[in-house]
Amino acid sequence: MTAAAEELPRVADPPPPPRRLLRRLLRPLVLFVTNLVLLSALVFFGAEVLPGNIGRLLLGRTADQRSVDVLNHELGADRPIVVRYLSFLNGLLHGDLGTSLALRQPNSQLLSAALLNSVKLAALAFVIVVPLALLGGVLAALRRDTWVDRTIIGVGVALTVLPEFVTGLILILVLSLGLKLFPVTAAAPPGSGFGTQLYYLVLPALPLVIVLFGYLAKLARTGTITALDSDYHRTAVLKGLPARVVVTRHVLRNALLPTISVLGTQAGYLIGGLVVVEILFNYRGIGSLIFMAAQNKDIPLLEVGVLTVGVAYMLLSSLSDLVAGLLDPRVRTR
Amino acid sequence: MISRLGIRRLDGVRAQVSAAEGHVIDELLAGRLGRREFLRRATVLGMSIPLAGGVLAACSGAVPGDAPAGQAAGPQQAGGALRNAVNTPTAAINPVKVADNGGLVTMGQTGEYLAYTDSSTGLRPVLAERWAPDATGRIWTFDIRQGVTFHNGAPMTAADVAATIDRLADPANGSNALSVFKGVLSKGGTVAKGNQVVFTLDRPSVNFPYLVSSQNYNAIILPASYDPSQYTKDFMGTGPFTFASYTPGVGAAFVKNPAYWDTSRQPFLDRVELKYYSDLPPQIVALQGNEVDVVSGISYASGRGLFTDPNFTALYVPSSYTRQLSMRCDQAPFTDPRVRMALALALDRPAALKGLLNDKGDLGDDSPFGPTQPATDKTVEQRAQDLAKAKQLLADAGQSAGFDATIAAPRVQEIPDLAVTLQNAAKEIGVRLAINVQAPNDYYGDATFGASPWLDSTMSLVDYGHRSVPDVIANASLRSDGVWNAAHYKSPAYDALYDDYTSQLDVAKQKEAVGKMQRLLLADSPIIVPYFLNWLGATKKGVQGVNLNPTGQLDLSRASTA
Repeated sequence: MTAAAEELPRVADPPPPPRRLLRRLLRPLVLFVTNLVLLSALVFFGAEVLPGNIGRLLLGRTADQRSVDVLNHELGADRPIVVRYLSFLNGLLHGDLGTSLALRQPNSQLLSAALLNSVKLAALAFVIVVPLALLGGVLAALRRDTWVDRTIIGVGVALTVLPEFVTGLILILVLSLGLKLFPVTAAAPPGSGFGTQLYYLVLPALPLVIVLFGYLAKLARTGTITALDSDYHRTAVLKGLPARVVVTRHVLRNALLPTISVLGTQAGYLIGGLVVVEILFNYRGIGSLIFMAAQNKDIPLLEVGVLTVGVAYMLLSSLSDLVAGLLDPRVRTR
Repeated sequence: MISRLGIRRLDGVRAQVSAAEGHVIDELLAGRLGRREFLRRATVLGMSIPLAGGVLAACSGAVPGDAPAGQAAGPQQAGGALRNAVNTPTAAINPVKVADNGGLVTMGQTGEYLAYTDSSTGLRPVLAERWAPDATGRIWTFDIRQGVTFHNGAPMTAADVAATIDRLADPANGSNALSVFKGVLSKGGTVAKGNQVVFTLDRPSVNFPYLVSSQNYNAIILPASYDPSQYTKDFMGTGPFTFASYTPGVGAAFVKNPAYWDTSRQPFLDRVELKYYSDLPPQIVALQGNEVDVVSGISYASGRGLFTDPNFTALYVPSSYTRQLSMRCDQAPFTDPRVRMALALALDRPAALKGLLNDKGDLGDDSPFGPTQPATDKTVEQRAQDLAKAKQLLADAGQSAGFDATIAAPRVQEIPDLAVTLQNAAKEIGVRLAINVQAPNDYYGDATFGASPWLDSTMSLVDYGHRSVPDVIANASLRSDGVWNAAHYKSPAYDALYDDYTSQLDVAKQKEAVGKMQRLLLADSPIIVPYFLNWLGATKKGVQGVNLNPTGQLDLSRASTA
């Protein structure tokens, strides 16, 4: 089979029989649940190897051992780990996310507030970086091997290697302390409107944009170049279609598939992996919540925090697969 | 020379004071106590600040004492809100259990103690008007201030005080103050009698008032029937500010208490806002970016930029906050005191203090007794670098070729840099030190022998927070049975001197015992104490009256906005 034949749109397969359809729907669900159970066990038992115990960590190294023992008993941290794990799972199955051992607050409250904050920041970063990176990547591909291509990809990739705390600090020094354009924190005053919240989030979103831009732009460039080199692109050009139509209808649709697949996992990172940015900009997101829980050996909070991020990863990956399927019939029929 | 009027005044004072207080006055007159030390010693024995001031005035004709930390430089404006950067409390704030800086700063806005440990004048009476020991120093009687009400309107009584302190001394409650009271005050030792509270101690303790002052940050006075686990719902207290709001992990706000009992210390501020930060650098940036007005408890390295910026006022408070390098006396080659002393003599302390802290601290002398603590004998020689003697000591110990060892250290502030400084100093005498820096939680572990790199390593560095009196550190880190004795130092002579020190009510004898301990530690050298750090903070220019306390509290009762 030739390459051209592979890339030609295929006639859709006949609809699958009901049994196959059920299996197709159930398989990801089973995988999803299995992954979550494995993840929860990994976190729970893995956290046991963290040094110290919660009583000692909360009361400090100079506390009397009697005080530490009393606190561990109050928190139930002196029970066998299997008992604690089963108790946690039982609660989870009954819709109870448990209580933070350190903060003595329902995990659901702590988590919902932090998750909302993380989603806001991730969404803003995404809204900025995705169009920018796609535009940059496509432009670089269309101007392949020119200074435009080299500048976009060169600068983008160079910025990718800068850690967020470096770019974050530079941005604070220049844009906040120097030019006084933005506040130094991401947390808007209580009761702020949408516009104010957005304003406070712009600066923290920029280090994330900088980290992701180069990677996504390079993916978009590679996909676009592959599409530009394809036979269907040549055919479309030879048919006399306007360049804009060729690019938007034939090139982009195929070029962006790899990028879209990657966006799902990157969105997961943006929600759960922003500890440094959250600490730097004093923002209470889910990343710093998980970090604090790990530091305090607050296992119930750590567990639900990690599971939430895990669910977010899985859902967003599934979403990106869905979008990829909508754009590419080959994915749908696979 | 004291004037005739002064002598008459002193005679009048002597008629009002106890024998122990009389001793302190004698020490002052003999020149063995400075003005500041006199104030500290006199207040701990229960002499009121006005009375102690009268003694100093009689001696010199001048108004006594240095300006308290945080005293305003000019007229202060009333009203407004002060925004403070504070470390995020790591746990639910419960006065009985609180152990972190963020928690105790937050509690301190509404809560009050029997006395407040002031950085310059010693103990300032707050909810206790005065106190006095019996002749043995084992029974202490505190007169509880009358006319004080809790924020819910209920009167604060001696019964509330007794219940609060007894709650802390009861092991069943798992109080974080148990380590402070250990061996001194047990459950049942605190009894209310009328308007007085009588403490019957397990053993005599001349420094007992410190243990129920703000130095023991768990000892905020609460109503007798209060449930401390519900504290974050109302932040009950008697202080100058009352609770307005609290969001875990985000911040807290307090407003002026219109019914505050102390008419001479009415707050200027209408509102105090605490913003929580999980790390120090964002707090510094927040001050620079005008998100907050005050930062406190910062390290020199992270706050360096603030201390030279004219837009901010730097705050320095001398303290006994320190670092300690322990060398295990039960493990070769440190079983030989000459080896330990050689390492101690290799260190250039002034250079370390300058290089690591830009001189924001005091030199250490290889004992836990700091220059801010009243019993420290300042006539003891200051250890200085002496490389020739250090090499000779190593040769005498059969280690002229040097040896290899590892310093274990936590990743806390400048401690890793101090480890490098010690490594370089050791190199000067041919000793090869490796460094093993660990995250604090890994390093401290369970904080018990056999389960803690801090307590088990051959050489280990540790940080000790400020204590107004050295009792806890001198006991736990150096006594043979000390629970933090990382040096595994076993000295019956030291143990006996410590017991002697804690049982003395007489200042001169107490100082004599401490002096002997200091000299013994210099001779045995189980630990190296390079310096004592200043407690640091900074405010926006124009902010006045912020009173930093090296214990960690942030007293804003007399603060005002810019």
